[in-house]
Amino acid sequence: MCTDDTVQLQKSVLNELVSDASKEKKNNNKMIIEEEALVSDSPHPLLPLVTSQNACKLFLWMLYDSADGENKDLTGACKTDFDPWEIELLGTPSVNEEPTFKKSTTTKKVSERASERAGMK
Amino acid sequence: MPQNELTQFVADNFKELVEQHCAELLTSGGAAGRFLRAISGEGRKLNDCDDYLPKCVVEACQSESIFDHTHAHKTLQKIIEANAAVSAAMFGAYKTNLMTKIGSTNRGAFVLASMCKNNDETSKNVVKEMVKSKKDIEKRAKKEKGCEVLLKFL
Repeated sequence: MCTDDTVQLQKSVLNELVSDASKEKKNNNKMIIEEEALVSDSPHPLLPLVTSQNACKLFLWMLYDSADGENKDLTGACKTDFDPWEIELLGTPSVNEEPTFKKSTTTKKVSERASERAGMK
Repeated sequence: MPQNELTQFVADNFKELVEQHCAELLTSGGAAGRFLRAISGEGRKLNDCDDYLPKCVVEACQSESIFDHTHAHKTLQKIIEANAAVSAAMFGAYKTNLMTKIGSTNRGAFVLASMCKNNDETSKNVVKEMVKSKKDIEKRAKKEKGCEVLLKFL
C-alpha cells in the first residue's frame, strides 16, 4: 500500500471515529429531547477521545512529528514530555511488529536451576 | 508527512472542540492537558490556533477557581509559556487586577510567574504590574512557594 492510500485509510478511520461519536451524540440528543432537556448540553464528539489517556495518543502522534526536521526543538520537548507515553513507538510501527515476549532473566535462572537439578538427579 | 495531512483533516474538529470545551480540557489534566499543549506549543501544526485559543482560554478562566485547580493551573502555566498570544490575551483580560484575580492563591501565583517567564513585551508588562504589589508578594512568599517563585522575577 502506498503512502497516499495509507493516509486515505487513516482519514476514513478518523471519519469513522468522529461520525460514530456523532451518531452516539445524536442518539443521546434524541433521548434528551424526549426527556425535554437541553440539546446543547451534549459534548463535542471528540471530547471523550481527547480526554482518554489512550485514544489521545493518536492525536498527539498527529500533532507531534518527531521526523519533521523543522520541529527539532519540539522533538526535544516531546522526548521529555512524552516519555511515559512512549509516543515514538507510534511513529515506528516496526518496533511494535517485533516479538514482544522475551524470556526474562529470572525465567532463565529458574529453568537453569531446574535443568541443574535434573542433571544432579 | 501523513501526520500533517491528518492534522489538517481534523483541524476544524479540533477548533470546535477547544471552542466548546476549553474549560473541561484545562481541568481534565493528563491527556487533555497534553493535547492543549500540543496544539499551542512551539512547532504546532494548527497554525490558526492563535485565532481562537487565546480567546477560549480567557473565557475558560472566567471562573476564578480555575487558577486554583489541581490540573488547570499546571496546564495554564505550560500553555502560557509555550504561546505568547495566550499570555498576551491573559494580560489584556486581567491587566489591572492580575494579583487579585489570578495571583490570589498559591497556584495562581505560579500562573502569574509563568506569565513573567517569556522575556517578551507581555512579560515585561506583567512584571511592571507585579512590582506594584511587591510588598504583599514578599509577605506571602514566606509561606507560599508560588509567591516565592514570582518574587524572583521582580
